Amino acid sequence: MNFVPLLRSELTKLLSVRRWLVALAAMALLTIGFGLLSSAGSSTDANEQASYMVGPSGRAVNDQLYLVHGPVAGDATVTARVVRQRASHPDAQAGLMVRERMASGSRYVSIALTPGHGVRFDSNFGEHVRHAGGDAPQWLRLRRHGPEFRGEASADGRTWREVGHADLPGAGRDLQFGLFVNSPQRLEITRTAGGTGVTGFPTLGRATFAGVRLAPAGAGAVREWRGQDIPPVLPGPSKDPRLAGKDVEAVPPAKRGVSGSSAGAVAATGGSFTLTGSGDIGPAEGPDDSVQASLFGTMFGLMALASVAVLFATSEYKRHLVRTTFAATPRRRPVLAAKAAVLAGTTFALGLVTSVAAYFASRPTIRSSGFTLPAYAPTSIGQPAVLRAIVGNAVLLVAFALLGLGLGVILRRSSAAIALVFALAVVPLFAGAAIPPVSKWLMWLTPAGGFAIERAKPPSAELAEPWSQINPWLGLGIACAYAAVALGGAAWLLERRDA
Amino acid sequence: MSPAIELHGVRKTYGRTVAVDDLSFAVRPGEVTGFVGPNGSGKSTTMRVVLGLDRPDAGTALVGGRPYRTLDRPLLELGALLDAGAVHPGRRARDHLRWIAQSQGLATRRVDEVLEQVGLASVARRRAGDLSLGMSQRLGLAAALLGDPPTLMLDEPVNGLDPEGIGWIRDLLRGFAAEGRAVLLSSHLMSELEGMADHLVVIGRGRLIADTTVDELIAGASQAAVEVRTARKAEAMTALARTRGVTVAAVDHDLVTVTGLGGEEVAEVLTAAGVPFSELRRHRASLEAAYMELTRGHGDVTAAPVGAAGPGGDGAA
Repeated sequence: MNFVPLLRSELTKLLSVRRWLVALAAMALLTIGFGLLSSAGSSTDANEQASYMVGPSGRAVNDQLYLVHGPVAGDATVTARVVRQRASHPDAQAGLMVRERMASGSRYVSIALTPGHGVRFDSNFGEHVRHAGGDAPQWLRLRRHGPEFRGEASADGRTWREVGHADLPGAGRDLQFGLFVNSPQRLEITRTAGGTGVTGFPTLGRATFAGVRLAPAGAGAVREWRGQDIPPVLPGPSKDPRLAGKDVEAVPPAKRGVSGSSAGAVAATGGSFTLTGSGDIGPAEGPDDSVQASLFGTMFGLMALASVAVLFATSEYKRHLVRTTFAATPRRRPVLAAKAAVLAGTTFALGLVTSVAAYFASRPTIRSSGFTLPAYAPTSIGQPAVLRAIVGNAVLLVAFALLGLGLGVILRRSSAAIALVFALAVVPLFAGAAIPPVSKWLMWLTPAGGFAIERAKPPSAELAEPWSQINPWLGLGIACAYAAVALGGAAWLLERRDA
Repeated sequence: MSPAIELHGVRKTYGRTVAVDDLSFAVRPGEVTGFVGPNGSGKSTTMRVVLGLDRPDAGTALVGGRPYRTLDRPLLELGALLDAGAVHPGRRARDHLRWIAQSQGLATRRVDEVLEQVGLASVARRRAGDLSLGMSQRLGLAAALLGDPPTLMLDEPVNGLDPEGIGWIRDLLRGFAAEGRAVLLSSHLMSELEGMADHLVVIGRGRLIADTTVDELIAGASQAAVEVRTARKAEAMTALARTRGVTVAAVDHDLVTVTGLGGEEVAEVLTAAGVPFSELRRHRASLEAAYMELTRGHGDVTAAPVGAAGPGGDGAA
């Protein structure tokens, strides 16, 4: 049987009931409207109570480490062997660094060993992060050639592999070369009904370096290197209670980083150096996600969409319309497939336009709420993560629409099917926020976890929103799996039941 | 040429209720077949089985020699009207026909043609839920006619129609049959089929009671009955009843029906008894009377519970 006539026929059905078109328009308006409300309701004072450094790109960064360094002129190579490293934190670093200045926020290139993630190459706070396998003892090498820097690692000091490379355009002749150690804070997150509390505990990194060499001869002298904390030490620990509502509550980013770094130290014995140090290097933007705030209205728009999706199925049963349908097209699974395709296509198109509109409509509000440089980098629709959130949000709406369609066919009753979609898609969000211990499980077990796709930032346990805890692709996958199971059940029942 | 619709030993149960039991009949081209039985006797169930909507527990139903579910563009083979209310009330009449036409790959022009044919062109943009009962029936007919099919199957199509509408349907279906097409038309009232059907399939409690032509049925019921009109009714009845095996019934104040005697014998008896009569003629039963005659002895002809001989409910409409 030709599938195209079925598609045309189902599309005509979907678009020829005025009430459904009104509901679809309501979905768009609710999504955009609540997105605006959410953007206006979430504000941040991170820029007024700055507790971060500003990096070379003008963004908030952490720049905390203990550095044993000295000036080096022109092209040079520094080599060292990390003999051992304390497992103070999975992201603790012990390695080599070249910096322009000693002040916080200076440009740099680094290669370091970590206890949890092998060898890490980085420049300028996350610009060129590369990872490679490896653990202690590990040879590390950082080579300068003009503005170009290469980070290499070796297990034996003879065979080297490049981990990463980066440029510092316009770097002067004299740069600071050195050994560094740091170790980020350990965070303890307590979830309470409607909020989270984050407490940071400093950890102290410690590593021993041997065989530190600087080439060529005359570039500098390792024995003249001096140890220094970057930045000067503040007392800690910090208590950072976050009284977040269920909507986006912005918090000052990176408070945990600056305070609580403890004084580093160096001990040189023979040719080896043992360094201790605390802190973190990298972007210091908070986990609050302004893109997610723009798309927050989706869960309200979803209710209008779910009713259309469910009715697209149940209206067939209410007055035995399905008999007319199956008399015209007796092969039932293709009919369901056509319904699903038409609903999915319409929902995706409308969902995409709505998401883009919600994103742009809320930008001015987002900016006036304090989500600006340096604390928060501006977002643009061209960024892969933002694009993922917007397109993913349309896909999420498709998943919920298909879930509604499948449940409508299975239950054949509008009220029951709409209630079930609501119970699966939205109730877990509120239940998760109200009952912290189960929130993550709810996101894993229900399609509500799909809202994770609306975030353009990595998952974070620090926020009150339940969906921010799980991986966006995982959450979207769970929602799609629910839709697939509902449609599969519907297809199975359709063939077995009398129409 | 294979029958337009044929059923072979169809049985359909719903839970404990037998709706249709071992039903076999055929609908032939060129005639209107009336499908008659009381409410709940299994007519609609049979039609749903023909359309592949309900799956029979036993037996097969074929349309043009093939199971309905295997047809690629079924509305071009069989146009059916089961339930005129099976529309979305919020969809315009024309849109309702448009999606059906699209599902068969038919041009939208065809929608406007059938709207014209059934006389709904002026209300085409009205929502289906706002149509009167008669208009809904016409809309259902329009859907059945969309594919210009060789066979029509209509369940109680005159329900809710005014006399003018009934006449219109009668002419439509007679014309359809005259073109050599087949029509299966159900009704619970035999009188509705008078002058419309050529052939009759009568069912009760889901079982076949008769599969015959209208003429045969009436002839059978009229057999050997003679009507006598006389002013001296009592005397006539006494004289006639004297003969063995004769039944006499008073029909009117001056009319009696006699069975068991031929016309000439009746005249002889009355003349011998000296009873005058003004009119003597062969009785011709009405279709309704023939139907009553036929179903007499079948008792309750609605659906019966499985294994129970007692009175059944009308569970399977």
